[in-house]
Amino acid sequence: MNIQEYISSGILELYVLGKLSEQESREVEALAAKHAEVRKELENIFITMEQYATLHAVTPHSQLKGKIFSKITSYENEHRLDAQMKQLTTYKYTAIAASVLALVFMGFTLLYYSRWNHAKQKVITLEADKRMLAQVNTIHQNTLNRNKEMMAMLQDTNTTYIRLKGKGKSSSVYTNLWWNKTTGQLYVGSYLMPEVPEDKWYQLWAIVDGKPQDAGMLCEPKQYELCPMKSFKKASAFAITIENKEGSPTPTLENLVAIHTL
Amino acid sequence: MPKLSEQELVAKLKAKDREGFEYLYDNYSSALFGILLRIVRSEQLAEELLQDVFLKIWNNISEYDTKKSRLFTWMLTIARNLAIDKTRTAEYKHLVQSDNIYDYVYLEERDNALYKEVEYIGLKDILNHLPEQQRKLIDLMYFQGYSQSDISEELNLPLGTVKTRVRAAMNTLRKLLQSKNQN
Repeated sequence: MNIQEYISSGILELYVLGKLSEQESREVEALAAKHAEVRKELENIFITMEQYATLHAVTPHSQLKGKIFSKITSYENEHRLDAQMKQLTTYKYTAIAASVLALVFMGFTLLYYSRWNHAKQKVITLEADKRMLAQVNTIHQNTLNRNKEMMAMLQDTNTTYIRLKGKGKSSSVYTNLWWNKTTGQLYVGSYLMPEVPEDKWYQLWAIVDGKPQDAGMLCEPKQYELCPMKSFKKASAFAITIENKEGSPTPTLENLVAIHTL
Repeated sequence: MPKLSEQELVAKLKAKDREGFEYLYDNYSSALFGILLRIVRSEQLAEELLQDVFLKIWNNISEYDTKKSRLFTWMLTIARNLAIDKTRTAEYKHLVQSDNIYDYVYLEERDNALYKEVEYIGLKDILNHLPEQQRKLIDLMYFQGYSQSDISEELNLPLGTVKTRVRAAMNTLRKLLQSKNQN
């Protein structure tokens, strides 16, 4: 663009007179910022119009000054009050909003704290349940394993079933025994024995080479379970006597309740 | 108050300094009032408008950009816009019809009592040397808010010519003002 042509086109005069569109005005301002000649010419036109305006000067009534300044004062006071009110209102609403938010937040916190606590309790309970179930499972597993062993033992051809019958007046009582001669394992199954005093219990004996050997106290009867006793690779007979609860190293022969000779 | 540079004055005004505004009033109120009077041609309206102009200067001084315009030009623009807007109101049109405004088109009629304070010898000189058409062109645009197309219609000029005519008129005015200032 030729700046001199631009200047002499009259566009700057129209700019100063305020006759340009917004876009044209921005263009003039941009060019003025860029070119010193445009700035200088604009300045000259500004001054021309200022001087022309000044030629029309008329001193306003002297009272007008006081009027204008009291207007500015009251406007300022109003404005200040307004701004303060606005600020107060803003504070007020901000405070209310903050309080509401805080309450909502507290509500949620309480709600979720209680839910969390509840869930925590539940987890603790579930963990305990799980541990208990695992223990029960172990017990069952052990029982199952034992029963498998028993089943294997019972079906072993080397296992003998022995029914130990009562002697004399106790002829109706019995104790079921299983003995595997190969492994020596000896088991007591179900039994029906006469009542004994509180401090007495049944002791099983194996007769080995003509001598009675302790085979252990009968265990408390348990359904569907065989109770393991001491092992013997050989025995000529099995007998049960009534002894003190803690057992006796030798059998008390007068308390013999059952015997079976192989 | 001692004479302030424009820069100092603007700084005071932007700080809403009361003394700065009094200085502004003392130095510029006559020029602004003269312009208002020239446009609305009613002393009462011009007084009302002068109050509006100063209030607007007070309120909008933060928007004034020293890079874009001179302070006086900026204030003149505010005054001109407020006054020209006023002449477009129904209230003003009613006033014109009831003949309550001064006929201000011709300088000769300004000899009445209202303008006795005006030192318009300079203006008379200048306007006497400004060709009638150029003076009309400037006054229609500057005081009556005519747009380029309004001018083109009023003065029966092609739109493209308005710009160059305005430039020519302003150049004549500038030279007249320069020679006056040299005297």
